[in-house]
Formats: sequence, C-alpha cells, structure tokens
Amino acid sequence: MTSLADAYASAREHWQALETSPVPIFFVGAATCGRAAGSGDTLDRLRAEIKARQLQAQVIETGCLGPCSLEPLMVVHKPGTPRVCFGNVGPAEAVQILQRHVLGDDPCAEWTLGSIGSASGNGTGTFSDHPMMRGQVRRVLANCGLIDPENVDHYLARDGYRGFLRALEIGGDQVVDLVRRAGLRGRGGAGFPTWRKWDTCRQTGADQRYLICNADEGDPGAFMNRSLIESDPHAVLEGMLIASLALGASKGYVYCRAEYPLAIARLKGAIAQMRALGLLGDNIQGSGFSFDLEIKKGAGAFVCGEETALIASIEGRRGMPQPRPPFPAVSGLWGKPTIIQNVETLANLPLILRNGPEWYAAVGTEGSKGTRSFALAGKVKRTGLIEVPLGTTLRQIVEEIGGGSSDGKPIKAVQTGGPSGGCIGAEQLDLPVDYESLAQAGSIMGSGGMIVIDEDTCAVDLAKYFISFTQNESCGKCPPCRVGTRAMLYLLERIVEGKAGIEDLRRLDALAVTVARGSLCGLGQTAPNPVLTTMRYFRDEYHAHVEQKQCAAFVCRPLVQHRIDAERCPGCTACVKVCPAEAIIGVRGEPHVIATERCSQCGSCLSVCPPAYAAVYRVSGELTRYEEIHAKKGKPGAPTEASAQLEAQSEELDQCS
Amino acid sequence: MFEITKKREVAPNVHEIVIHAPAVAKKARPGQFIILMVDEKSERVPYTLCDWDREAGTVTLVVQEVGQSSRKLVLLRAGDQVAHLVGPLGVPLEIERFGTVALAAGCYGIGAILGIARAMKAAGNRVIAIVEADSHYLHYFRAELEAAADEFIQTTIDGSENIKGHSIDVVKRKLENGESLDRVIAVGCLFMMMLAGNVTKPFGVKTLVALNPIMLDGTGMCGACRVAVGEQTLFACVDGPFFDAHQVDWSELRDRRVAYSDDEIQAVARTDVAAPRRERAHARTA
Amino acid sequence: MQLNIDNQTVTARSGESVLQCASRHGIAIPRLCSHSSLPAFGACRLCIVEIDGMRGTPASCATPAVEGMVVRTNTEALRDLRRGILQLILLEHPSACLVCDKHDLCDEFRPAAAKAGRTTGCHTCNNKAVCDVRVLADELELTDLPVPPVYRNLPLERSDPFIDRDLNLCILCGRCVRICKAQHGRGTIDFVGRGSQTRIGEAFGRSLSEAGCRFCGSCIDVCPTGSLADRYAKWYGAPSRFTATTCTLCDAACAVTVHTTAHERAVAARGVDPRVPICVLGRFAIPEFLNGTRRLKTPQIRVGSRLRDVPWQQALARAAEHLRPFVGDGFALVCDTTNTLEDRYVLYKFTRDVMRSPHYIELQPDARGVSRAGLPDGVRAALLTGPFVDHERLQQLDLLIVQDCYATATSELATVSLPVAVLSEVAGTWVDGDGRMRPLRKACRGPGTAKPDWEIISELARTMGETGFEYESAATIARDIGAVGARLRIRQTEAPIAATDPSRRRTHFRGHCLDDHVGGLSELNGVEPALATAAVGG
Repeated sequence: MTSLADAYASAREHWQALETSPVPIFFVGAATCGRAAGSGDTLDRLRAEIKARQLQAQVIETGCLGPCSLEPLMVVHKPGTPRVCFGNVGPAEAVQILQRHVLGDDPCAEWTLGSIGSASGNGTGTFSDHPMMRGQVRRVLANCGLIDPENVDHYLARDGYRGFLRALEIGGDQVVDLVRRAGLRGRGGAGFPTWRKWDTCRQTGADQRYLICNADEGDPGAFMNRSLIESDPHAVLEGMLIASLALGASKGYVYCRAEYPLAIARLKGAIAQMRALGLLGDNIQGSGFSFDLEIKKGAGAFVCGEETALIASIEGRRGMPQPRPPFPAVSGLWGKPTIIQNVETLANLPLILRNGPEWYAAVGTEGSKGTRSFALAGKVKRTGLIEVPLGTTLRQIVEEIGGGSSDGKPIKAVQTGGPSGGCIGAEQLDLPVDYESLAQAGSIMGSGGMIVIDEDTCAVDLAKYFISFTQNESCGKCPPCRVGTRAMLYLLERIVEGKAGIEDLRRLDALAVTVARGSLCGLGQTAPNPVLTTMRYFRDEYHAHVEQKQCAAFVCRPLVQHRIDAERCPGCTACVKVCPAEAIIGVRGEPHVIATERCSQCGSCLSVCPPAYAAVYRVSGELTRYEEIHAKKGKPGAPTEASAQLEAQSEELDQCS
Repeated sequence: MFEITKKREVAPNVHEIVIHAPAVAKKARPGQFIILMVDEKSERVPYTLCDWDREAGTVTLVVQEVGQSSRKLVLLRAGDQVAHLVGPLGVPLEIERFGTVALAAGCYGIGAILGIARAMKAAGNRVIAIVEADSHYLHYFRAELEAAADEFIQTTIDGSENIKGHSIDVVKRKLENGESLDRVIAVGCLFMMMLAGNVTKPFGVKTLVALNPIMLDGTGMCGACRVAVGEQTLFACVDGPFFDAHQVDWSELRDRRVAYSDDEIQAVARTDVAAPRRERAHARTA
Repeated sequence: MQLNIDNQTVTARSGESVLQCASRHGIAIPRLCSHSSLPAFGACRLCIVEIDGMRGTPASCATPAVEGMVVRTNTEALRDLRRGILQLILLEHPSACLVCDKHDLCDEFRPAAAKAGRTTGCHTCNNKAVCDVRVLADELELTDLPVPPVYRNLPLERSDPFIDRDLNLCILCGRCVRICKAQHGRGTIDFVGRGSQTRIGEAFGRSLSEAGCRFCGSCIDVCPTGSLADRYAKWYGAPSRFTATTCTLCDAACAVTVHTTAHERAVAARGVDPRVPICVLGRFAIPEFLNGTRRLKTPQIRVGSRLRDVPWQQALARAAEHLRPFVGDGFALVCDTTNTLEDRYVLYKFTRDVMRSPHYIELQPDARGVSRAGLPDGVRAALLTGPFVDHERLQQLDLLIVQDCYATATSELATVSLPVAVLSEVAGTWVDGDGRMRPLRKACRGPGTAKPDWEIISELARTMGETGFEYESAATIARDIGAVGARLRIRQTEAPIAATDPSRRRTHFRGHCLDDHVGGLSELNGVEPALATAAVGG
C-alpha cells in the first residue's frame, strides 16, 4: 500500500509531466455520450494513425467536457502551445487535426471550440469563453473531460481527497457546521437542507449507520449523474467519505442502475484505488474512522430511486415503497439509521471542505446556494451537460448557453424535473432557476433534467409521454398511482385521438388531484405534475384537442390530415409510389389527391415531396400548415437536383410498368 | 357423438360453441332449445339455440359456466365431441309480421336473440335489438346483431360505454316517448326478465320471456320444469320456453330454481380432481 | 398518551397506530389492506387522515400515535379523496353491481350470489355475503366510475388443491402475501410484475403446490374479496353458525371453528387464532370427509349376498339376535382412539358387561394415523368401528358387525352395518397427544340417520335387554366418568407440526385413508385419486 503522502507526490509529478509533455497528447472524450457520438471510432483511427506514422504521442480517454451536441470532443496538447479543444471530431477529422495542427501549423479553426487555459494567441478564444461555456461555473464538473477518470493520480494531483483529509482534521461536528453554513441542499429532487437530514440521523443513538449514494438516475433524458461518475468517480466517493464521517456511518453503498455499465466499471476501479491508497477500511489513515464501500446494482426499476424502495432493493426485497414514518434517517437499511444522498450532493462536499463554506455560498441565491448541473436537451442549438449558479434564469440557460431555438421557432416551454416535474411556459423564461421559484411555477428542480420545447412539441403529447412512463414504472402497490396513472393515460389517449369530450378534461383534473394527494410515495405524488403544469400553461391546447379536434403542433396523428395543394403539385408521383396505404390517387402531370379515409397519417408523402414543390400540407382542426418551398436554383418552384432525380426514377418505373 | 366445430370465449365467462348436429340444425326454429350431455355420465342440460346453419348442419350455443356440467362443456375445444345432443325442443316463437319488435337481452341472452332477430326481420318486422352488459368488456356479437337488426342499442350498467343503464330502461324510454312497440321479447337473467314484464305491463305491450327453470327430460314427462303462468301450471319444455311475462309467478320460479342449490354446490365443491388436471393439461398444450 | 381524534380526547397505548387507537374508541376509519393479525402495509390508501403538523394525508395504519396529535378522520376532503381512491380500486375489479341503480331491488329479489366460473359482478361473486368492498362502496356512497374499468382476463387458477383463485378480483391489498410471510416465513406468493401488470403469483409461474404452499388457508381467511376462495365452501355464502370445537384428525387436537350452513352442513373449518395456521387436514379435510357421497347413511342388514337398508330398530334387533350366542371370549370389539372418551367408555362397558368378553381392543394409531390389529385366536364374532383388521381374518369370522362412517371392504363383509356420525357431527371429550382433555362440540348433522358410536352401542345394549346404558347425551357419560374440565387447545405461538412439515401429517383417520375421501389431499400427496373410479377403498 502506497502511503498517501507518497501518492500525492508522485501524482503531482505525473500531472506536471503531462502539463509539460514534450510529446503531443490527445485527450478524447470517451464517456458514454462521447462513445454514442462515435468517439470509439475516432480513438481507433487516431491510434492507428499514430502507429502508422510511428509518432511519439499519447492518447488519453477522458470523460465529458459538457457540450454533448459537439461530441466527439478532443483536447490536443501540442508541446509549446496552449491546449485546444476541438468539437465534432470524427475519425477523418482526428486525422486532419493530427496532420494539420499537430504536425503542421494549421489551427483547424473549423473544429476549434477554444483553447484550454490561456488564450491561444492565434485569434481563437478560450474554451471557457465559448458561448456555451461562458455562463457556466463548473465546480462539481471541474475535472470532467480534463482528467483520465481511471487514473487516480489525475484526481490526486488536482487536490483530490484534500477535502476528506480536512474533514478528518476537523471532525464530524465541524463538517456538519461547514455544510450548514454552505447552505447545501439535496440535489436529488426535493432540495432538503443536507445538514438537517444528517442531523436527524446523527441524533439516533444507534450502533450502526449507513450511507447510500443514490445513483439510480431514472428520469428519462437525465444524465448528470452518469456523466459525473464516468468522468470523475472519485469526486463522488470522496463525498461519501466526508458524509460518512459526519454521520458516523461505517458502511456505505453506491446503488447504481444496471443500465450504466461504464459508470459501474469506473466505480469499481475507483474503489479499488481508494483501498490501495488506504482510504477505505478500518482506521483510515490512522484517524480512528472506519468505513467501507460496496456497489449494489439496480435492476431496471425507476421506483427504486425512491428511498424506501431503494433500501428494500438492497435488502433483497421487492422494491415497493413503505409509508413513512419511520423515516430512513431513523430506521432504514436493515432497520438502522440510513442517509440516502444524491450523487451530485455528495460531489459538492469535497469542494465545501477544500474551499470553505463562504466560497461555496458566494454563488447562488439566498435560499439556494451553490451551483447545479443540468442536462440541457431539446430544441436548443447546444445541448449537453452544464453547470450554473443557482439563480441563473431559464432565459440565460436556454438562450445564452443553449444558443436559443434550434430551428428558429419560438420556444414554447421548458420541462424540468423529468416525469416528476412540469412544463414552465415561455412567458416565465425570466424565472431564476432555484428550488422555490420552480416550485411556485408548478414544477420542481428535480434531478436536473431540462428539456426545451417549441411549437412543434404538443403539450398534450408530452404529458402523455411522461404519464405512460410513470404508469409503466409504478410499483403497483397503491391504487392511486397504479390505477390512477392508467386512468389518466386513458384520458390523454382519448384526447390525442380526438375522442374526448369536455367532461374528460374535468375528469383528468379530478384524477390528477386524487393521484397527487392519494399516492403513497413520490413517484405517484408527482406523476400528475406534467399533466397539471401543461394544463396550467397550455390549457387552450387541451381545449383545442377536445373541442376543435386540433393539434397545433401537428403531432397527434389522429387529429392531423395530410392534403395536397393542387396549385403546387406538378404531379411527380413521388408520393403516390411511397404511400403504404395506397391512398394517393394521381397520374403523372396531374395534381394528386389523398383519399382521407384510406390515409393512415404516416407522413411519408410529406417527407418525400420535393421541397421545391412542398405540395403536401397538413390540416388539424382549424389550422393549416404548409411547408416552405426551397427553390435551390433558378425560378421559385424550379426542380431541385433531388426532385429531378426522383422524376427520372419515376419515368423509368413508368416505362417498366 | 357430436363434434364441436368452433369454440371461443367471446366475453369473460361467455362461450360460443358451434356443434355439428345436422338433424337438429335442419329443424331448428327461433325460440327453441336443445339438451345435451357432455359425456355418458353428465347431467342433461338445456341450452338455447342461438343460431343454426342448415347447410353446414351446425347449431350455435352461447354458454356461461355456472356449475359442474357447464364447466365440463366450456372446457371442451374445437375437435372435441359431445356425447348426446337432442333437439330442437320447446315451442318455437311465433314469427309473423307484428310491426316493431324490440328484443331486450343480457348475459347469454345476447346470443339467444340472434336467431330471433334474423327471423323477425325476415318476416318483415322492424327489429330493435337492445343489449345490456355489466361493463363494456362483457359485450359480444355486436357486428352480428347490428347486421341482423334494424336498430341496435348497447347499454352498460356501469356506463363504461354508450348508454348507462339497463336494456329495459331503453324500452321504457321508448314507450314513454310514444314509440310504438308491438312486441317485446326479453332474454336474460330472471331479474332482468321480471323487470321487462313490469315495464311493459302498464303499456300493455305483449312481452315474451324465456324462462329457465330446472329441467330434466325436456319432453314433458317429468314435470321438473313446471312454471306458474297465470292460473296454470305449464311445462317450460313443451309449453315454453317463452311465456307471457305479465303472467309469470317470478318468486316461485326463483325459489324453484335454487331448490337443489346445495347439491349443485356440492357437485362443484367436491374437489373434482380430474377437472383441474384436465385444465392444467389444456393450459400446457394450449 | 393522549390524542385528539375528531375532537375527541382518546388515550393511546404505546406502540399503537392511529388507526388502532381510533378503532379501540369506536371511531371507524375505512380500510382494506390493514388487518389485525398483520403489520401495517399502507397500500390501499383508504385509511388516510389529516394530522396537524404532518404533510399530506398520512395512512393512519402506518402512523404511530404520538402524544398531543390532532387527527381528523372524516373531513369532506378526506371523504372525496377516499371515494376517488375506491373508484380507482374498482376500475380493476368487476364493479358494475356497485354502481347499478337497481342494486337494492336486485339484492332483495336474489340476495345470494349465483355460482359461476368467472365472476363478473357481485351477482356471481362467492364473497357477496361477507364482502368488505361492498360495505365500503356503500359507506363512501359510490355512484359511478371515472373511466371505463378494465377486465384483465387473467386465467382462473383452479388446478391447485383446495384453493380457487380468480386474480381478476384481486385488489392487490397484499394481505395474502403478508400473512403467508408472517406465518410461514416463506415467500410462496408475492407481488409479480409492476404497473398495470402487477398481480399476485408464485415465482417462475409455478403452481401453489410446486411453490411449496402448505395449504393452511390463511390467505383465504384474510382476503377481502372473492379472489381467494375455499373451493368447497365458496358458494355457500355466509355461514349460519360457527362452532368452536376440536379437530380430531390427529393428536395435535387444534381448536377449530366449524362453519355450517342453514341445512346444518359443515362447509369449512378454520383455526381459532388467525395468527397461527393449522394444517391442511384441519383446515380443508373435515367438510369434504364429512360430506362424501359414500358416507354410510342408513343401517343395513345382510339379506342373502347383499346389504339392505332397514330402520334402526330392525338393524339393532338383528344385531342383538346374532350377538347373543357369542357372549363370552369368542367375541372381540375393536376400536381406536379416534373415538371420544365417552365412546370408548361405552364400548368398553358393552364388551365387559354385555358381551362379557375380555377382548376389548383399543388401538393407538401410529404416526400416520393407521390403526391395524389382529384378532385373538378364539374369536369368532367381532364388532369393529373401522377397517382395522385383515380381510382374511374377518372372512373366518362367524359374525361381523361394523359401525363406521364410510363403506369399506370390511363393511361389505358385515352382517349388520351401522352408520356412524364422526368429527364435528358429535359432541364429547377427546384426549390429545399430551394426554389433555379437549372438548368436541357438535357443529353439524351426520348424514342420513347416522349416530355417534356411544349412542349406537347404548341402544344396542338396551335392545339386548341390558340396563345401565340409559345415556341421554355425551355430557351425561362425561359426568359419569369424570371427564370434566376439557379446554379447547388454542395455540398462541406455534403452528402444529403437521402444518409446517407435511411428512409428519397423518394419512389415515379411523382406519380410512383420507386421500380416498378428500380429493385435494390425493392431489397434494401425488396419489391417483380413488374418487375417479368406483372402487371402494379400505
């Protein structure tokens, strides 16, 4: 076992060596999001190229830097120059960058996002000045994308475990005080003040206490915790050490969902490294504090993110929540006082201990201190994992960081908190993002998911999507959730199918109340939130679906009819050939007609109609929606290359038949 | 032996069984019934003839599992045989051009009125078929009845689909609205048929109901199926099964029907080991 | 400690829940999943209340009573919420009858449920007479449902012994799962699946027998709907009488409550203490055994090669006539200890004083309940109370009189065959395996004109001109022999060994193989049922 002091020394050396490396280093983002974008191929190609050229160079796989829409990301260390971050680096681009930038002098500006550290001096700005990064304050995510998550030296070199060592120095009581003064609130959903949660547990005079890190992250579209664990696992584990010290817990579990294999692998590796450094086990670093850690994999149940269900799962029982009291802090795992903490909450602890509560509380609002990560997704130009001070407005996030609407259409709403949260209408974009403001607006901060929608998203369809999720994940124990969500789903389906009457809206309202008030646990209690908020901000959409059989977003297929504009249609027969229901009648050269009673509303005709004609349009209720004509060259309406090809094909086929 | 050519559960606990019985199919008329024995040791049980196909030589029954014998029957599948089948029994319904005929039905009755509806329509009547079920999932034969009748109305007791309420509520509303009904025929449980009679009596509309007393020989000898209709004691097998609703002694019929309930329950209750084994074997090969 | 519930000051015991405290003070809170024998589960969400200082609507069953709590159990808001929750429960349970506008009229016309394969409403539900859900629907004034209900059409589970299950009626209160775990510590059944697919089942689709079910019937006892039912008793509705007596199928002598119908037919037996299970024999075998179709119902005498039904007087006269020549040690009487003390006293007295024979043979059944004996060499006439002796030996006798409950190969050999009332058809005193006296109380009528053993023998003695056999009742005999102070064995803590270990369960009673007369048992023991054939067992 290496002594910690030695480990720090060698880590610093190692890190320095990297900083001043005389050979090029390619840091490629290879966490799950990067791999999903193809960084695996990029890595293969890069390595092959390096080998082929017999180059002296290092390739390091890192975690996620944040701008997921620009993945694969690659940071290049070219000796003698500031490091540069490149985006959209596929295999071909990686080779280009190697050739032109590393071996040559070309800055490869077309992929450059910015330099890391100081300005590059050649005109490209710094990465932190990139419009997506500018409004962010990356504290918890500071290491992500910049270190090799499997190399503990990197973590140690950047002050890893200093927070824990400080905690050992000052003792559990002081740690609690620091956390109280920092104002840290739980980042899992409810936002309960962390120190107070710990206090309840500390005050039980039990012989055994447990700390559980909740890495179940079940919200669809949420990936904050996954990203953090994959990119910087030790940040979370150090947090667990600190929390356990404060609580007097001698055993901890990381409950990680089985759908995160890379995160689990990283955790396993990190835990082994901790053990080797003497940071786990009996009498850690001679302090008298003993603590050990185990990973417990989830098994595909969203409900196991709920505290009592999670505890049941670890105990080997079916994950069904229990009524509370007793609260887990008093009687939890195996009947002992247990604290369950979110991944991000824990990752904040090393920062508080290292930098002090004043530093921590300098950012944020009165009631919501510190920063918070969000998984920004949806109809914005720049999606990814961001970290901002609490109190940042939705507008700042959506427009500045996110770059605004991805296709120029006005933003309709922002959905926060996943299936437990709600839609906040665009008129509230200046709302500061903090616990209280979001709650007042009818939503919740939740785990950090943030989905931006525009007019092409139907609010009713969105609510239906979330309800079908919660209905599927309901554990089945209590009728309000198990049956209530199914009943709400039934009504929502009738609404989107155009079969609902006005009394169905009243029934939906009443059911939402019954489910919210009657359910046993948070899953059921918050399941109606998407419905309640969309009915609050977009009630007119619901009414339009019911009264005019109209879907303004043209999403709800049963309410949308496809038609052909005779004035625009030149009769190219592209749609006739592609219609699976054989519902389009038309001869070459004559305007085609869609037989509505046969039409299945699949939309194939719409997608195949050449943009030069844009003859297929849609009708829903009283609304009509035409597509824009995009003439490529010559007069408006002139055939494009694509449509000419189609025409040629059609002629060929006609000649054959 | 009589082969089952088609068998399916059309609604929970309601089974459609089509049996090859050419001699019966040839002579079957609306309102009649058959008696069958599943095997050599079975009870003789009467079932209404819901439909028949004279060319194919088949008869259609709609059966609900209510006891040991009906359970044996509904456990059979297409290709299995029924040991004995005799019919058609009972007095056929009068089929003439009456004008407007309303058929009210519930439970197995929904199947029972199919053949009647066709015949009434063929005779030139305007046929209104009104079917009721506890809930939407208990309705069946919708397409068949819609085709056979001029007007088809569905009700559900719990309001889960279409009109909330009973079929005879619809009949009552029609009569109250002045619609002229020349004949009402009701087939369903005792309670429903009793209500049918109560509803139409003040309006003086002739109402026929299919009575279902216990029955043994079915040819008028044993007297088990006697029912009190007005001043008379008649036999359901040879004088019925359809009788004037306004004259039936309902409480007597109800009491007589449960006279052997203890034995019937014993028959079902005595753990019939063979049936569960058969069912399990069925489930494995199904 | 003191609480305020609905403006009433009540005193709570330490460890009590709000629900328990309220119940004790006569404050009724609607509930479905809570049960006095089970720890709180908090699933049905009907027992919700408002408590000052607590968020939302906590479940009173799972909330410990705390000093100074202010609780409201019946506000308008709570009633509305409960009604909404009950409506949701009823979306997955055939509920049309509960919202039918002719509900009362129909109940009046035909109060009892009619039997059916699948239950599609209260009218065909085996639970109608005792259903908690119906009571609740009434209490909460249910009139309609918010969306169309769903019928899941799950297969009926009718192929396990004794227990019928219709999962389409299950409201997922979890009581069955909980009581099985509480009483047996094993998860024979549990919640399976989730969301709308949730149901109760065994792991890996096994049957109950395959999953190791002990068939104690406790799950049926706690099920609030007709979902779990005792196949034998389910269509009899509410029993008209409950009689606490002792099960004499083995020497554990568990106290059982026998349920009888208006026709005095025993249809079910249950353990007296709901927290402690009894074995499958006490729970399920008694009614089937008593109601078997091959019970001896009338006295019979041999005429030629056949046995003919005759009235008692005639049979006893014939028996007396045949017995007289064998007074002395050529006669033997064989019985076993399944007989009551009263029976055995009278049987002994008859052998000693009337037949003046030393051969009173009282058998002690072995661990499996089998009683077998030989007859001493000089015996040429015998009276047996069961098939205890080899057929060959019996064929050598000049006279055989049998008084028994079921026809057997033995009774087929008899000159006179007399029908006996057994188990809960008789009153008396019985001795259990620890030598303690237990009371038997008469719960139901025997078949035909069957009588208890002591009564038959007493009448026989009197027919033979003897005095000293004028007993009016078993109680009279009990007083005579000093069999007083018998107490029911109500087990407070442990289940009888036969309930947990099937290999320790008896297979025979009074010489009869129980498998032959209780179909579910033969199924359970993997034996080919004798019921299926016409063979007469022995």
